[in-house]
Amino acid sequence: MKKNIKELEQRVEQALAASEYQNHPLRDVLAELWEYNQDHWSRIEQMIRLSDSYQDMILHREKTLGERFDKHLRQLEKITRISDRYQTALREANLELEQASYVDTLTGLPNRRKMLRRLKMEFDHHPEMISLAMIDVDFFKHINDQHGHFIGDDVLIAIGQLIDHQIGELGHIARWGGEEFLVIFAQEDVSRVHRCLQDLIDATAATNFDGFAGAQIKTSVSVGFAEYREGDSIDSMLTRADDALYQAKREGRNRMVAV
Amino acid sequence: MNDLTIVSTQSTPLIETDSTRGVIYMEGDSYPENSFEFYGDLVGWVTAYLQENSRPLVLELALLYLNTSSIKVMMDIFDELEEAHQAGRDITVNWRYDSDNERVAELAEEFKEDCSFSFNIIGQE
Repeated sequence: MKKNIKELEQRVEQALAASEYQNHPLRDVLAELWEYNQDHWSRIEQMIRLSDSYQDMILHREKTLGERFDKHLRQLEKITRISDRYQTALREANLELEQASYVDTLTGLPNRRKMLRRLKMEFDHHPEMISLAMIDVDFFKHINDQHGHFIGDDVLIAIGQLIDHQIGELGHIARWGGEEFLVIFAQEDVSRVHRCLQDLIDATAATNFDGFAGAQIKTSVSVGFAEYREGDSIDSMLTRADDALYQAKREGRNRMVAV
Repeated sequence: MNDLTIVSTQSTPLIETDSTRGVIYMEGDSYPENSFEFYGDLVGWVTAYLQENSRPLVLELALLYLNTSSIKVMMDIFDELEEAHQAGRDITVNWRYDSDNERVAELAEEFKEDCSFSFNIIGQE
């Protein structure tokens, strides 16, 4: 088909160029038609070129948009991953800090803060079962003065462990202050608690604590014990246990006073 | 071209550029209120540096914590560097971190993943 048109075009061009047809009446008509045809073709070609360039532009645009989309998606995925990792780390750090905030750094025992929470919890559940033992190391200042603070700290740690061990499942210990430990019991059988505390007093007095260069340190503890009374608050129980402790101190230490 | 010297604060890193040596130095935490604004000058500097010459560029980083928008800005910068590297530019990133802080190394690894230029994550004692 295309070949025929080429052939036809050649024939038209030859006819228009031939000298014998120059004066033919149809020559002008053919020339005009030929010109019109040529003009038409060039316009079609132009439109095709325009259409092609439009298509190129759209394709390029789509490609650019696609690339940008891919880039943003890749970045988003990465940011999400990093963000998740940060959140996990933050959560873990929070948990660690929370745990640490309940532990006494020297003895590793629960601290005052933890004990206050436990007191509140036990008080909310069954106040009538609660009793408190305030335990203080006798003449602790002497140990510090004679043997130094490092040895004093070691003795404190050892006594904390001793109390923790003696109390066992019966109660919960915390380091309450300097050389003071508080134990909370939730036990109906108070006589059992008393026996346990007396055993603790005896065990402490019988223990040789390690001093510097093989030296042996003797010490004892005094205990103030308070049982729940009708109308008690946490504060009033603590105050009574404190009072009992000071009574035990006044009466010569190495003993328990229960009120 | 004008070099940058931005002193660090608690929430923004130290940023220094040296166009004659072709070095960017960044150190510290990055959680500015508006990261895109804060990093505007740096982003502009990088683009200008890459346009004005064809010399190598080295990033000496000791970044620790980056908030999300800072990460986005750094990703855009690394993407631009990657493009430049694809076009034949010599690019190097040296990201130094404290060996105790593996989290920083993990972060740096995320950035490294998309870069084909020399990206060194260097743990230091």
